[in-house]
Amino acid sequence: MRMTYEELKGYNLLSKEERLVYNLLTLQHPDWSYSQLITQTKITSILELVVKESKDLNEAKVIITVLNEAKKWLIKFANISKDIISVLDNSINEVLKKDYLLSEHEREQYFYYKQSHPDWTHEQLIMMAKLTTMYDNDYTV
Amino acid sequence: MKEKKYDFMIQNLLAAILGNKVSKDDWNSIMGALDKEIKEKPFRVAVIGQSGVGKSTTLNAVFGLNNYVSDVAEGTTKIEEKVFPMRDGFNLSIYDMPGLNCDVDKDIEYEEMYKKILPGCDVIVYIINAHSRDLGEDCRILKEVVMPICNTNNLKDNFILAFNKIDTIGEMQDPNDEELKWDIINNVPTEKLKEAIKVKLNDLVTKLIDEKVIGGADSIKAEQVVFYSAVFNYNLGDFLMAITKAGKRGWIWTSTVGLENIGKWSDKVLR
Repeated sequence: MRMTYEELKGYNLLSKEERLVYNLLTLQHPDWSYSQLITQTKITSILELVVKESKDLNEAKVIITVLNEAKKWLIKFANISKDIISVLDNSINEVLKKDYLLSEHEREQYFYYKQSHPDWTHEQLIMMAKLTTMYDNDYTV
Repeated sequence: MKEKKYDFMIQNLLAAILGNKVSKDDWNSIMGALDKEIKEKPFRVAVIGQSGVGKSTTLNAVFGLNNYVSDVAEGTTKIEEKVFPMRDGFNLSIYDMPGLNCDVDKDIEYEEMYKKILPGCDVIVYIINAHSRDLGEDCRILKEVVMPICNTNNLKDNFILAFNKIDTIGEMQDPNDEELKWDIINNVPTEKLKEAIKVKLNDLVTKLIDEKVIGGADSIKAEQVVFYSAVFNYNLGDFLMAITKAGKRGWIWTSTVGLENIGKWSDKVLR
């Protein structure tokens, strides 16, 4: 089945293993659409993770999602001015920035989380290190 | 000067992130909007499923309810909103919905109930037994009743398809095979059970994709499907993630009490 350009872009984002699954599914289900094939491929990957032994909650991933969803809500429904949203946006991006220089305390937190959560990405570790440090500091608004 | 910490995680997170980058007035307007949204409206959840799929255990495990017992009688046509105060003025509201059955008259009544209740819900959870042999009835209900209501009312993103009882998949295949039983000590599937779970769930999902309940243009996405065991509190993180992304207000659950219920993040960060 030929893919559209958009579909091809989605296919290219799949990992090597996922592409193998996708290609196998095209043979097993020649009548399925791209959307059906990609969904089954993703769910097969999800199932691999579901049975993995370290099923600890990935708090960093949840927090990033909460912040992004809350931001979307603030923009759409809370009547918050664009200026504040842009401050919020920049601040969130700043926290998430990969190459952001860490303070000594943040670095300590980074390695603490790295040890306790060896599966986290660098980006997730940076975010948790920075957020935890911010919570440790007094803040005034 | 150290300001007071706020009631909920989202407020504390924003305080930490925004710090003194916004004026006091702007900060008050953000907090006011959040406070109103969190405290004035309960977080409404509809849970749908045939009897025996584990609605009560799911509500207890995922939503932190204390010994909630589903009391939806077979054939009931009246569904009441049950409100559970969480903390600091935040309430959870549950609609415990019966699954449809093959009784055409009753199904029509149920469908009307679904139409009335679902549009007001922040999250709609449809629970399927992961060891089901036959998804025929669930497929029909999803395709003919639930998904059309969700699509008509712009609720597709509020929907979560939840496969409970993944721990029992092995036992249903061979109750005498010890290697197919859940490893209770480590709370993980055994190696043999892992394979059985993958095969069984892939099989169920394939059927749902074939029927275009998942993966079609008007159907739900892979991220809206969760596999878990409520009894063993297994893989509830994925469930929480799905709630967080659900609809316009899913994040409210996670950022108020949801992560506290099943998370392990330090208290200093959460409160």
